[in-house]
Amino acid sequence: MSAEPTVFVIDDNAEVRRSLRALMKSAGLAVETYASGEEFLDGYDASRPGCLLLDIRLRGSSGLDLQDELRRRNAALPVIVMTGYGNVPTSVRALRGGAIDFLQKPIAPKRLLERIHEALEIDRHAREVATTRTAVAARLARLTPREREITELLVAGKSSKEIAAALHLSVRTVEGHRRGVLRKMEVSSAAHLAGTVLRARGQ
Amino acid sequence: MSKRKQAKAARLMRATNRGTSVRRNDSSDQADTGANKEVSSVNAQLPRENSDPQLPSLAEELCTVSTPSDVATDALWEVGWAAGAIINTVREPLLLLDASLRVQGGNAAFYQTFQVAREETQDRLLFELGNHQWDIPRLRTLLEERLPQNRRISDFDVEGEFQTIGRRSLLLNARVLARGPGRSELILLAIEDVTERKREKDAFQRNEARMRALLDAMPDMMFRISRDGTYLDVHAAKRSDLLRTPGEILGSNIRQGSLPGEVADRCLAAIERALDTGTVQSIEYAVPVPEGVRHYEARVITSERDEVVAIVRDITERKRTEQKLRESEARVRSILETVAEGIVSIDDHGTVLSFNPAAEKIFGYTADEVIGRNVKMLMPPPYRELHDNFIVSYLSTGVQKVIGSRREVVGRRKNGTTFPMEVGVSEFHEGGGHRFTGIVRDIAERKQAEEQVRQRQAELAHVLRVSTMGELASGLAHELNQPLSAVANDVEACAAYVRSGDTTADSLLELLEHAASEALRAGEIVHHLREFVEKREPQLAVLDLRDLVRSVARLLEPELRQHRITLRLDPAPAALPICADGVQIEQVLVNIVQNAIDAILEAGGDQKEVGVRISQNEDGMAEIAVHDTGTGLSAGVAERIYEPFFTTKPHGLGMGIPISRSIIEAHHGRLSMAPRADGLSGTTVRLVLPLYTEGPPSESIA
Repeated sequence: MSAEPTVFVIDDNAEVRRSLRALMKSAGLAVETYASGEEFLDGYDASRPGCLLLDIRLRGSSGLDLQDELRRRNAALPVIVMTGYGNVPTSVRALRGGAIDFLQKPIAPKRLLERIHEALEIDRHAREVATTRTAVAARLARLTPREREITELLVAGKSSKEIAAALHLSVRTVEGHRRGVLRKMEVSSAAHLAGTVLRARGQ
Repeated sequence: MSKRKQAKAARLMRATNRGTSVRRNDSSDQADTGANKEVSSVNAQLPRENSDPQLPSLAEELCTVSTPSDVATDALWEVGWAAGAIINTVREPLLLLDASLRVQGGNAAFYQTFQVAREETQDRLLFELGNHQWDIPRLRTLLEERLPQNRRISDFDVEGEFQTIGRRSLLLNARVLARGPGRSELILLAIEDVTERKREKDAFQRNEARMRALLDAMPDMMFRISRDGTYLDVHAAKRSDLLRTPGEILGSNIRQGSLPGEVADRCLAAIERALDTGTVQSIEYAVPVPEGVRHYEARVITSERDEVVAIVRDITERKRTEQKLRESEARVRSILETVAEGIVSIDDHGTVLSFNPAAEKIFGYTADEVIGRNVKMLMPPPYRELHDNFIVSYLSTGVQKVIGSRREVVGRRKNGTTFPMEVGVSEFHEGGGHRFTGIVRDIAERKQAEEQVRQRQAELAHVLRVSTMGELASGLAHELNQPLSAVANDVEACAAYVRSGDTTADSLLELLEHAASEALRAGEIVHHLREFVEKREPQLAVLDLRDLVRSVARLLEPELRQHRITLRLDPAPAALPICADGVQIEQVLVNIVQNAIDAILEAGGDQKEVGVRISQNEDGMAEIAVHDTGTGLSAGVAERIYEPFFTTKPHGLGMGIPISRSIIEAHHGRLSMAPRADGLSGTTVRLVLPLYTEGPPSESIA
């Protein structure tokens, strides 16, 4: 990961923004604050890791609208929604929109920091998964159709004998393809291969 | 009719009735005719001879006519002489003509009357006499046509113009006198000059006609009554004025008529008195008639011996009017005595003219103690000193400060205490001077009641504020949570730095200062809320209406933001001072804006805006107009919107608008609602309050 994870704060209350910035810094976190969703979107680079701390009732577009916009941009930033008043419909919509948490002000700072750390971890993990998925996909692309066929059966947990019987090949031929697959997929064993592929597929 | 005119009419009447009686009863015409007959008969006995040298022939002729037979000569002569004397003594001119109408002779009266000499007339044709002055067509008719046929014509009137004596009316008696055989007939013409009499008669008739017309034009009835009460004559311009027909009345007695016995007695007594004293007697009496009672006034005047003229007037209408006047006076008096308002009238010097029982009760003075003294005794200083000037200033400038309006002033009771009272003053004129009537109401009790109403209203307003606060709660919670969040964050940041030790005192201090100020801000919000919800006495203060609106905008800001409604404030450029209870006015504004928000949410449109315009309107009042882009008032809602407990909201109390309205009205303002005038859907709520003007109000009783 090249960039440092950043907490992006969007709140229309200047004092709240200022105090959140102070809190994040005291916790050693990088922080950027914005008064509105538009202001944030204008300069946001989807590759930057971090999390979004969002007051749901913003001037202009609301926090919920901002979530929709982020989804459209494929920016999978974890979102923590804050609100001064909570009711069931808005919290449901916030969570459906991908918010990982819905917090009611005033929020205990310690709890807020916990949640932010969690969000950052989620982001880090998501980005890692995304990276793995990209690499596995590239390796899979290098396989021949026969090798891809054998890979699927290996991931499904079949033995060389079973694969040979299923594909009407000799065990020896299957073993040869198996070695090629493990080499190309840069894994050491069939179990390792299954783990890598399944993880990349999000399973 | 004035008494003078009545008296004049009475005199006229007397004269007329006398005249009437002369005309009716005096048979002077017949008397004249009778006299002529007498003359004729005397003529018939005229003597043959006359001592007067001018007359013997005439006398002789006459005697010859009258006595054709043989009578003793002496006696005849004697008779003739006597006849001649008579002929020349009577005043009536006599003329003797022959058959050819030549003058044969005339008596002394003839020559004297027509101022001609005997020589000028003798044997001359009558019609040629005196330049043909006797040539009168009617006279010719008499002498040439009528007389030859009838031989005797009586009372034949002729008019002629005579040179010497002018125009004359003559009454002629003519007779053909036959003489003895062989002698021609003679014509005797007795000429009576009735010019004067005729003139008098004409004048009398004209006068009579005028009197008749006058009588007919008079509304009064007239009766001529004898001492014993017999009706001798009756006159009424309108028959219907009489209780009986003239035929029934004439000749009847007062006692037999339609007058009640008691009235008849009084009438007779009046007649007696009029006759005995020669004075005019006036009596009034009432007569029952089928339609009710009619009232009459009779004036009785002696007209002749033992006769009176009674002029009777129907005064029923006047009586009725008098009765009404008496009744209305009695009503006014009873009102003055029973009304709860004190009524005090004064003259243009402030001197009290009247003081009714209610005023006695209010001020503690009896009418006797106040009437005749200056009204300022009922006022405490400083009005007491100013009151005279008020009257003088009003009388000299005519500028009405108090007249016609009601105002609250301070009065002073006998025991020295002062009290609030309401005074209305009206002006009237009497005897050329200004008079003022003050209607005074003791409003101490009303003031107390008003105070109680204000208390109740304040309590109600409080209830409403509390319920309003409930509706505002979520927005306000957010408002409060912002600074509290900031405080928590700042303090936690400090704690983190302290824990890590990686910090400076300055950076900690900065955070703590932020935290402190945010905590105070939270406190301010709480304070404002408490002030709004607090149960409190109404407090009047002079406030800028714009400040109240701004304060309300702050209070509602979270609510508006929550629903993403824009609040557009359009404040007046200059301050709009009002004298008001700030919290109550704020409450009304919160209520209005909150209704606007509800209406906008219900409408669910894209345009979400509340416009608040503050201005001074055309009437010089402070005005706040709140426009919304909501659903607008439906007909059914508009009708009932001011009703208590009427609401369109699921959890509404239905008291917001009624209480708001009563608050505004208690501030002498108006609250009204109407559809937006600019064509957009939505409602405009208009709140009008009087502007506060500096300076104490000038007050006085008059």
